[in-house]
Amino acid sequence: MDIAALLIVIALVGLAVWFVGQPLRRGAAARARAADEGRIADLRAARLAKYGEIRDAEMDYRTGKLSEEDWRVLDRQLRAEAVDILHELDTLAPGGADGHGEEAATAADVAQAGSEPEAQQPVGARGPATIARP
Amino acid sequence: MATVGQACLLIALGLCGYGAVASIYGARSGRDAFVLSGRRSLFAVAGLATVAFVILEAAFLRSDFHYTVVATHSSLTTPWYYRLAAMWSSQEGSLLLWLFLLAVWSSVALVLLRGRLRDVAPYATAVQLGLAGFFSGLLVFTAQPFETVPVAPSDGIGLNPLLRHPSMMIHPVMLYSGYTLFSVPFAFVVGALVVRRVDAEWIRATRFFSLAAWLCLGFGIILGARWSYSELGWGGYWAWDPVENASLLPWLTGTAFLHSVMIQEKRGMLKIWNASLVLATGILAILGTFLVRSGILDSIHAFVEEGNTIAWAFTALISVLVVLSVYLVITRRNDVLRSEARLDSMFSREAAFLANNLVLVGVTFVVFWGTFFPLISEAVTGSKAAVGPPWFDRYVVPLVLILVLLSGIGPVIAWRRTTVARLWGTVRGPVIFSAVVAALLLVGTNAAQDTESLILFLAATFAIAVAVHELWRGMRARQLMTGEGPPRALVGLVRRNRRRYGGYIVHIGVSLIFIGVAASSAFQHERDAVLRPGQSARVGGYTYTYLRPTAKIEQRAGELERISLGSKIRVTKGGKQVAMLSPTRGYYPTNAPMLGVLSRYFIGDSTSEVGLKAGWRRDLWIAEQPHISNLMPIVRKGDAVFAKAAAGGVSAQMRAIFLGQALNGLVARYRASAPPAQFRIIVSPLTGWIWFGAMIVLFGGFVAIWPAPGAARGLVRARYTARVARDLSRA
Repeated sequence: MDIAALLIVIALVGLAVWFVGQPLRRGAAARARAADEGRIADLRAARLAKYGEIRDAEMDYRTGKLSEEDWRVLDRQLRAEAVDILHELDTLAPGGADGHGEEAATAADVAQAGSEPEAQQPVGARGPATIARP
Repeated sequence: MATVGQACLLIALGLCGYGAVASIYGARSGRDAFVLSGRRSLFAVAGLATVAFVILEAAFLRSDFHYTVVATHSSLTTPWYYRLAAMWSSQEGSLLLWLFLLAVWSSVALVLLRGRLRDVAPYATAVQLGLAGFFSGLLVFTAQPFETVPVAPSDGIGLNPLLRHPSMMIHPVMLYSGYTLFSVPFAFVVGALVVRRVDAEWIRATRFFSLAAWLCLGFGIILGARWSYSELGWGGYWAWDPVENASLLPWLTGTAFLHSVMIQEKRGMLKIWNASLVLATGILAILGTFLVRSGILDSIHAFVEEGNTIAWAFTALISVLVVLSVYLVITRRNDVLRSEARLDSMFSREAAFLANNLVLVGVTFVVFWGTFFPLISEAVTGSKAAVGPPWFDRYVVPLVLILVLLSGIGPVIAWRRTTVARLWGTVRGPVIFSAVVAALLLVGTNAAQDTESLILFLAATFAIAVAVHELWRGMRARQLMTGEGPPRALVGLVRRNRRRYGGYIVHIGVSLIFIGVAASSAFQHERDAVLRPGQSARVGGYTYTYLRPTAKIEQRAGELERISLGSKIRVTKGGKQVAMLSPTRGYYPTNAPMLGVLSRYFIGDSTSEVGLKAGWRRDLWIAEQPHISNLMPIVRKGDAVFAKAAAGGVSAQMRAIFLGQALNGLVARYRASAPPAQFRIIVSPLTGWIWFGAMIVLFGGFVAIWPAPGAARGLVRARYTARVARDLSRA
């Protein structure tokens, strides 16, 4: 083994040990906020998914796959589940963990994944005449 | 640098062991510092694997024949771009590629999922490190890529000529990316089962990786099919070869998984099924690598050198994974894996997805059984017996028919339940369209000659019509909601639900692939013919005429790369020329010392370069096997002359000049008076639809996988924000 290779290998070992061992030396400084942050991240993902489901159900209704009655039942249930998620989010991050408030974040998520309540119009030949809030 | 590369692998192996233990200890004891340290171990392994990978690639690029693996898999005449890919034609290089991709994709997963599934992630990290440790161990102890010799040979043996094809540069990387990306959901479901948290969160968190894995693996399979079609010279794109099947198995279970997870997300059902599917997919991905690299089954694709050495290691790993998976599922089946809901109706999307899953698993079982039949028969009867394509076709084709039909029905059924009347209302248009297409096929083509194909055409047409109809209906609904024009409404619709509409686009692509497969299998015209220059053969209404032989010496970097013997073929229909094809066969020199100076240019590896005129309606395809037997007496005589010249003290420089003259003379002789050549001629309808369908699948996959636009979030109006939030709170 030549000297240069030996030095590189020693440097690699040192770098690896330093990099991997750093959290152990730093201790658990970030431990306190870790658990809640993890749960908040999971809840936000669940919230997005739930709004996606609300939107899916609405699209199924608009394209004639769901009857209005079935859609109302399903939509009510999905919204109730969404509210549960929001309640838990509010409990863990009352001021909004992202600094902007959960309400704003919620709306943005809905805008991205969900329905557009203000724009609801009659949908034509095969769809229902109007969309009523369940 | 070989020492540094070897050290990287050794350090990586150590870190894998440490990181796995630290992750599990940190998770069990609640000491986050150890969890973080374990996580960093995976990042460090990714860094070290990258360094090792780059060192070996650099050795290939600069043709450093001190490295045994470079000397045995590359040469001075190998073009630089094939030198890059030559690395994974070797056992050692391909295992290093596996480790590199596994470590990189796992690290990307940990970064992207940072903060999510905090209880699950440490165990997932441990699983990923365990897998990385396995491959590091193989590279350190068994298949050492950094083995060197003190004195480098002047030239390498060269890359297997079969692998000198553009597809082969990407195909293995795509397959291995698919395999290694599937390890992400695999690792996370193991973690979720360990901590007994099997809600839909692990599915959502790893969805991107499941889709990416499916996409990469599917693309890799198609590239392999394309390579087989244009390089292997037998005229087909799928031979039910064990190695082809090995990549298909995890793709099939992965496809089933991508559909069934939607049921768990929506209804909380099929938890056991989903966990089992993703565990099976992960294990089948390892099995795929095992089959390619162990040589346990005879395959044209198995590029094996020391397969038996690693066969036991892979067998042990797969056994451990199977036992672990079965244990986790069985011990959790009555609590966390219990279903939260029941199937409301057989007329529901859940039921359609369930049926789709059963069919896909059925196909998986058939392919698995057929692939491993040689081993099963050997275990039972003591002799190896293989099943061929007809056996696979007999069972797979009916299942695929059902699958394509279901891919048409699934998207139009609502969740939970629907009525026959409502279902008919949504499928009426596509059914009528399919019926019209059927009538046209029966009247205008000979499709009625093959019932299975005709049914498949109908099912695929129906599936395409449903997908297009769904896109149209969604666009119309959005137009009425927003007042947007059709193009904008369509784009907006897809952007709002990329997963659903990306899926529909994938359905269109897959249906096109099946139409291409059915047409090219059932209505292909094929003929083997021996032709002299001037003679013709008639195939499928086309006349192939052997105009003249071609022969040339191809050089690279001042060295002879190969001798190409081929022909010019004119294809006519009704007296009108439709194509001019140039099939060739390339003869690559071998460095085998026992061969004569001239013989080594004709007795080494040879590959076929097919003549192909591709089109929407049909492909005109031809491959040639020149008869060089009448050249061989002259070649052997030349060998004797050169041997005498070498013994007589003729200088190497003069011998090289004489060699050039001799080879040029042989080539000229072949051009002047070529013997009859063996041709395989094929007229194959709609084969191009397979590749076009694959492009559509790829596009649909990208649509489905592409992240939702984050910028849109910031554009939400305040009053709208408040209203939605209030509405949801009141609901």
